[in-house]
Amino acid sequence: MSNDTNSLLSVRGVHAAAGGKPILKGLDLEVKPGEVHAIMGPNGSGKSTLARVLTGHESAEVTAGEVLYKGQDLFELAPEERAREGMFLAFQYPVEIPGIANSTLLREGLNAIRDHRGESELDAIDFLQIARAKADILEMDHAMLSRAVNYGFSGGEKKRNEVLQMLVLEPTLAILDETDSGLDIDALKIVAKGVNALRAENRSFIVITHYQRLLDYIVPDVVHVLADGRIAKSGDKDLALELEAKGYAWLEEGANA
Amino acid sequence: MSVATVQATAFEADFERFERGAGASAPDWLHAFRRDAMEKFRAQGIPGPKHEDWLYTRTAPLARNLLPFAPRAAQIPGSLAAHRFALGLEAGPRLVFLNGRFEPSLSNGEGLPEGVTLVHGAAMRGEEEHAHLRAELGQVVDIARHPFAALNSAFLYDGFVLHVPPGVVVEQPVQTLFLHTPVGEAVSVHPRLLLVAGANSQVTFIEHYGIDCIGALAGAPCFTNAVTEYVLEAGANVRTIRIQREGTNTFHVGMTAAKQARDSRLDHISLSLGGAIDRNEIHVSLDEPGAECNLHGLYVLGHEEHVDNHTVIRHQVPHCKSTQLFKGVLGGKSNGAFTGRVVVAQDAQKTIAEQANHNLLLSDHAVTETRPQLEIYADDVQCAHGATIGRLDEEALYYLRSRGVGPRSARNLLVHAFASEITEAAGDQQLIDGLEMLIASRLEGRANVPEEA
Repeated sequence: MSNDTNSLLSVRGVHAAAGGKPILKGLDLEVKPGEVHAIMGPNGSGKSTLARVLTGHESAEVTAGEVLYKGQDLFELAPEERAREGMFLAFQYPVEIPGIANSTLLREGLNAIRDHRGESELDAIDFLQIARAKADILEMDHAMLSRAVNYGFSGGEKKRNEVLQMLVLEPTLAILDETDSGLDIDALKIVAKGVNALRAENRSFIVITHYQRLLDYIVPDVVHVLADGRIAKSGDKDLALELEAKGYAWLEEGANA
Repeated sequence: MSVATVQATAFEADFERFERGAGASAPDWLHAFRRDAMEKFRAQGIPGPKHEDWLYTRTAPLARNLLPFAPRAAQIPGSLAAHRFALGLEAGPRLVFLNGRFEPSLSNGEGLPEGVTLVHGAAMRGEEEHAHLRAELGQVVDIARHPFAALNSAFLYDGFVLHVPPGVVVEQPVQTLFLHTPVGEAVSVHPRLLLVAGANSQVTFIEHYGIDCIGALAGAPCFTNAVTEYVLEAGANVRTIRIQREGTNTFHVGMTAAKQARDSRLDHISLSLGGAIDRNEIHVSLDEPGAECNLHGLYVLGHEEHVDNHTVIRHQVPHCKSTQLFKGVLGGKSNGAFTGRVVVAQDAQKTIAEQANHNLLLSDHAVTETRPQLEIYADDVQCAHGATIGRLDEEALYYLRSRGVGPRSARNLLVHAFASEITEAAGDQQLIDGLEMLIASRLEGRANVPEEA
């Protein structure tokens, strides 16, 4: 893969460990503005570790390689700085935070991001207007905004709440970590609708998923297969269908041959 | 205890000075009240380090800092400074005390309904007709068993007695502010309050101990030894908020004592926002069936501050309920203790008594101690207690940061979330916002220095 200077994100030869165990073993990835990349792969192939490396979770220890985001060294940036530069992760397991209202988290986050961009802070009324409009896209009850962050939410509500946050924060690079897992088809369609509502020329997505199903609704430009900590194969959206039909085993055989 | 007696005698000279000086002008009943109290203090002395009720607080620094009775403030702070302590309640009844003395120019007596009577210290001291106070004061707290309360009575100078007649609903919270203002030397004050809530009356009462801007900068140590008594007659519904934010150099011993008649309800919140030593003692006696008390406490400490929450709830009769929720946020090398004693008398069947103490440690050097003491002599009761000690949830911190929130704000948000269970007990949104603002200013390190300073 070429080291294109037009890339929004360049992942180059990244090795990373989790809990002392090597997980990523020389991963390369180039994401250009406006592209949607799907990353598929079997359990344990390193999909979630990649998401953590990109967003700065301390459990993912980078041992080699580099990542350039908007041309700057990503590893120099703290998690909140990455967010302010437009990076967003929809968590596979969103964290429950009793005592902090959804709207408080969103307003604090949005205002920190706006402040970083040199924009004025939104007051409570302007903010609520925005948040409510985004909740409508996802067919979410406005009351969800005043509930504590993910606290007591069902699995589906948590995933929808992640997408709500993404719509409000309007990231430049959104990473969705198995946002489809555990969702029924109706919820899946709503989540996809939220993602598609954000698609734009200057906005990129990395959609991490175990199943091809989500990609019927969020159509990717590129599909990568992650196996044993590396991109084993890349292709267009048809690769996802092929994987769905054949499973992952044939790939690993191919990689080992 | 001989050591204690020696310490106690150090007070004698100060007491005589007070009786001849600042406290000289007083009716006979008040002199007699003080001398009786001094005798009771003398008999007990300062509790020593082995005293069961004082295990977590070293009284030696208190004994060493038995400071002279505070002189009058040299200067009255601007009204703006006083408002800083006013929880945003600029209207409504407010009594302000400077260095233990009622300050009319900062106070506001308006807003009290017809029939509510309020007697403050000047009247107490000036007129023999208030001799009935001799019997009223001390009807809840037993000064023969509480040496600091005895000392408070011996130095009784100012404070007030508030009577809410039966059936009266006091709409606006009644607020008191006790401000230390610099006099160039370390001093002590002994505020004394009594609130009598008549049958089926309703009132919200706020007790606020602080230092004004100038005092905060001067940083002279002070010793506040306060006693507040609550009498709740049948069906009375009383909400009380006690805020202690006198600052890192101060010593504070606060005694809150309540007795409750049939079907009365007390909701109490105590907020301890720092001090060299802060002893927060709460005694509640549930004397008739149907009485309910709910105690909430939050302490937010840093540096080498120390707070010792000590509660005693006595279920004397059947069908009463008590709940206690105390939460600590401990940073630096601070130390937070909670001792919760619940005594359920033999015939106090159908008692419900719950108690919980949860602590959030923000540093490796902070210490917390918790000691539930359940003494249950009845057999048909529901009593529960629990205690936890934890740290900020790292995953929650990361989650907040991943949304753009900086680490410091993320930490503060999580501490506020932890504290919200206590602040929300204030019920009224304006009060909740006011309490949260005070906590925020403490977390941002501004607890001792108001913004205007």
